[in-house]
Amino acid sequence: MKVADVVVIGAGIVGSATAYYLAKAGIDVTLIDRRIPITSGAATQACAGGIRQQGRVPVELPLAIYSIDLWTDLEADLEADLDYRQNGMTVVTDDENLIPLLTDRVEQEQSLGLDIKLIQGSELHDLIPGLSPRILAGSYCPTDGHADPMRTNNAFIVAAQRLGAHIRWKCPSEGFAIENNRITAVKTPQENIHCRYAILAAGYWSRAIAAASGLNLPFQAFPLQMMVSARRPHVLDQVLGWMGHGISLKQVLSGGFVIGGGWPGLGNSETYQTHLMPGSMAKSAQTTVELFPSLSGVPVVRAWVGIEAFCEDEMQIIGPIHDPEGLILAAGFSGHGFAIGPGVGSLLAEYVNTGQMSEMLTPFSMERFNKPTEEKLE
Amino acid sequence: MSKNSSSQQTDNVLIICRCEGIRLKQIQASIRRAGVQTVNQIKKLTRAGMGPCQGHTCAKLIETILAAEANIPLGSEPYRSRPPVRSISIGRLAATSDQFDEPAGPVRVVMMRTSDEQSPTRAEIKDKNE
Repeated sequence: MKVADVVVIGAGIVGSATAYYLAKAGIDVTLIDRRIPITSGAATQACAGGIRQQGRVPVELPLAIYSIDLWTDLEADLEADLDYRQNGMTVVTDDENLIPLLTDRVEQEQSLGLDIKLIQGSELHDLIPGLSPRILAGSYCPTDGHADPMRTNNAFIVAAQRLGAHIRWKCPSEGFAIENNRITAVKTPQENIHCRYAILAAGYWSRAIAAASGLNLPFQAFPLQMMVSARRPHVLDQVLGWMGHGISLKQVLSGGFVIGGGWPGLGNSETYQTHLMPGSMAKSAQTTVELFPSLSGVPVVRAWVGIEAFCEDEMQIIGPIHDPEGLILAAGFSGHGFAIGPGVGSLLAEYVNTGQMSEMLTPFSMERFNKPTEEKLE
Repeated sequence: MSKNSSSQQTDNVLIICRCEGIRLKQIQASIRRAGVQTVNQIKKLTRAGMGPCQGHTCAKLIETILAAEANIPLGSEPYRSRPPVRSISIGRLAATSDQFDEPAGPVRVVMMRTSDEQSPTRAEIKDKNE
């Protein structure tokens, strides 16, 4: 009987990156996904492609900084063009009452080793031409950036395969075979895939797979909307965010403006069917023209919705579950998993290889839900 | 089917998706990738049909190419075009925002994370901004 070292469930950014780093370490890995090639990664497809370190909770910042180091060499490592650009990101405010809060965050992130600074007035408007005159200040991190989520996801899958990872499509997981409190196989409709470890990276759908083994993941499905505009000459280098407003704005290499920001849509996690909410499109557009007025005349050509898993505390669950042994979680990234996907994959591969769990991942263990409320994250 | 050099040249220059400038050669190359069987996979691989016309021009062409290259029956999977059906400027879309009560706001107000216990909560800041 063939026994794989690891089966990774879910070929989105997290599962694909994990499979790649496992294969790179010479570990026998099988990546399975219930969908067909080029369509995997529900949250990845709803992702705006921002690669940011700033604005994360302090316990997540080391993981984000570590991930940016990986991103810097990722196109060479994967032998693929990911449209990665490290042109910085600025989170702005138009409210002078919020500037102290912004300053506090910048100072805190500086103390944790991030290259970030507060910029105000003409320095800000010179750096980012086109910002609304009402914008007063922003936190500028020059090493933040953006990349194409679909290209990145596919590149990880192709590179993993090149390094010997096995990929199985149309292969949904139906839970685990467990003997003596230890995982022995991942159950699928075709067969049981025998393994020593199973890494569950199936986004919202991880919940049902884990539930088959009596494990309750506190996830909710949130369908989130994205919009993209027609192509225009290049005017915006950076990724923009706006404190207290739902917007993440960037101009991708082809010239289109990609507009995210967490506006809700409607979706059914069983059928993958999603629908747009007209109010979300209108309000997202309103936020966009308030932040960057010259976009008013640019047409929206496409809007879509993808389903993301939000964990109860808006923070991913990563790491081994000791009941059963052999099950490792990497899911529930709550809308901020794309940038840290490579870091999570790399560190999980290290864990499988050495048995050592990086301190960058331990804050996200499932055990936090067993602690008293005041000790939980945030 | 073997092709003479002039028809190969045609494949190199023939544009299938005018909005995104995607050529026949690129569509054919995407179909040769393992596991590609649907027009929507081709769309995601090449960007064909992702421009302002949302595939109104090229979706049927791509279906035909897929049928010719990979023997996939026409109409196997509908081409997934995205709203808005016709492009609308961001400004005109924004001007309709008063007509909608729902949603009240984004799912979560991004970029408000802070560990400082003295800071106002995200909800408080959101209220202040509204």
